[in-house]
Amino acid sequence: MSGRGGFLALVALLAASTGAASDPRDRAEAAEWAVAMSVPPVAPGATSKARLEVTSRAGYHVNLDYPMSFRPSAEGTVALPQSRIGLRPISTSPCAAGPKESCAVSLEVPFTAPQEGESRVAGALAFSVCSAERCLIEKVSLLARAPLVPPGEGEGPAAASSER
Amino acid sequence: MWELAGYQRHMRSLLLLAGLVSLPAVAAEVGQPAPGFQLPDLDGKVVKLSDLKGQVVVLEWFNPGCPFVKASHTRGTLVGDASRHMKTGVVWLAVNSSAPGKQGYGVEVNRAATKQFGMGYPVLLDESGQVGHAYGATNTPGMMVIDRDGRLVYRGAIDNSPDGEGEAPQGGTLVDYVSSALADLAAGRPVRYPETKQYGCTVKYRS
Repeated sequence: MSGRGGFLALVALLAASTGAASDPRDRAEAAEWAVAMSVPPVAPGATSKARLEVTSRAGYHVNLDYPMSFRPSAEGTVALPQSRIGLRPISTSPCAAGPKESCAVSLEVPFTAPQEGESRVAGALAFSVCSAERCLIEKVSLLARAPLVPPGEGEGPAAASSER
Repeated sequence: MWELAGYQRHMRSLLLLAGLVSLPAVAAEVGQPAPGFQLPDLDGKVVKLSDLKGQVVVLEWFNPGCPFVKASHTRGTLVGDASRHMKTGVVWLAVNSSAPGKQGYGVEVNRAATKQFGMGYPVLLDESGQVGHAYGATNTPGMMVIDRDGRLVYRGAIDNSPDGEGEAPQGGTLVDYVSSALADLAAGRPVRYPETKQYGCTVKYRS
């Protein structure tokens, strides 16, 4: 399977496993990298986490020294903790060509869903990929929609209150 | 024009040979004498560290194609940093150790970058990489500070925000390590941060 095919399969798998509604703006790619964001179903007012995947391509690796971040944009409807959220990888995958470097990283952005209406996580993901020849700093706009679930079936305050 | 270019190439070759015999194979240690060098600038004018004895010198490892260099020069700590310190008598020099064929190599691309970034100081060409290796320059932008006695007193990053933009300072507060070192030298204090981890692009050495 090619690197690109593998990445797309991963994205499809993530979308299927989370039940996230697909939006063409939930992913982006270039010759050197690909990114995707997915959001699990969430109940109104509940807390959850958007999942971000950064994958490098074509001899590039993800630059883990770069302070990756997510800067929310006005298109989002969820509440995010800060105007700039610093992101640390929750998991990394080594590059096949050079296992000292990482060619895929997973990141999470915590949020709180609105009490009513659609949950949209939107913002700019900042990351960096490098090859032996050059580095790139990228700032990519992403938007992902979370399917709403009835109160009690999601995480966070709404679920907790339904158990009392 | 051809004669000038030929002269510059000849001069660089001579300096390369000089570098091969005078510079150590291992990187200098902070607190020890800074390795001597003589390197041509973009006009072929040779700059010798020995001619700057008695002055505080800042060396900025430079690569105009590196996005971290661009970020720092257009939005980050390097905006105005050099001109502010040069007004107090500090000598500020950029050093480009990109090898031929590598990113950032070439007189014209460097000349264009100095104009774009408003750099009022020379870019020295170290295409052999001898000077970069002697100083332990690993990344661009990478910074060195040499005191009036010719000792290397700081080696590391320009600041503690490895995005190059000053927006992600580790610990929450932006620290300009070079300005901090220069302030310590001016006050006669030991340099508080003598060595930090360099960030940015790797220096595009020949090997």
